[in-house]
Amino acid sequence: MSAPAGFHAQDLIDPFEKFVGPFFERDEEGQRVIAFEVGSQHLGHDGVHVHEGQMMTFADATMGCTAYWDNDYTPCVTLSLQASFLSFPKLGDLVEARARFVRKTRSVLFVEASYTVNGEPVMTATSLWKVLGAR
Amino acid sequence: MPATSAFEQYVGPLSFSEEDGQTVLHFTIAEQHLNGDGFLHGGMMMTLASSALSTLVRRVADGATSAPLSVNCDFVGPGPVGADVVGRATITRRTRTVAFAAVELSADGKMMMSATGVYRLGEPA
Repeated sequence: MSAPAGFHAQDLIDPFEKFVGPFFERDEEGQRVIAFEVGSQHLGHDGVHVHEGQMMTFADATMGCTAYWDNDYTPCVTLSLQASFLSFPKLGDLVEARARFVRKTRSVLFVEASYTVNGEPVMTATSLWKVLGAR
Repeated sequence: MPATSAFEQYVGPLSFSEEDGQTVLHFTIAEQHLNGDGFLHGGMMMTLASSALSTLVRRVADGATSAPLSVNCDFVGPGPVGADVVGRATITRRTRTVAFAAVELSADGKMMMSATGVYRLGEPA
């Protein structure tokens, strides 16, 4: 799949993200925006809307990028992730993520993100990350 | 056995059964499900948890539509490649318009994830 206008493909490392991707990225005045397009393989039980597992995978991947980028590229793992579903995107929709690094303690990071389709909010998410190697 | 969705078939196979009012999930971790560290990716773990919760909620919805409003997942332990994953989902409470459900996932018998979800029953107001 070619990148949507203004985006470039992310160089994904994790096998599962490659499997459910591709994911795309662009810069928006210093805020990195990550996106994916809902394909037929992403659809949930009604055959119309995206599966919540794909949305939460995208939430994990996108907030994980911010946790990594904004903590000096230190590896970390997800401790907890909460997602609220405002509406479910449909086939062909481009879902955009904008994540924010909220707080860092010695070994735990707090990241939140909002997700939109055509500027309309579809999901909000919060997450906790354990910094690897930190005691 | 409940039917699975396109996404569950794409990332699966996932298998569901019903035991004593619970929905029981069975799954085996393969190479395409891993993260960069060689363990089950958090996204796939949450896909397993949310799929088990949604399958259970659809059953108790008695034919009404249902959709997740909120899902919370806690990453308790790792999922090694090749491990057999078992998930057990239970209904915590069901009202006329909302269902609360919880699930625990283990990998080769070791606790891997605990998750809860709140689901809308019926069409959105």
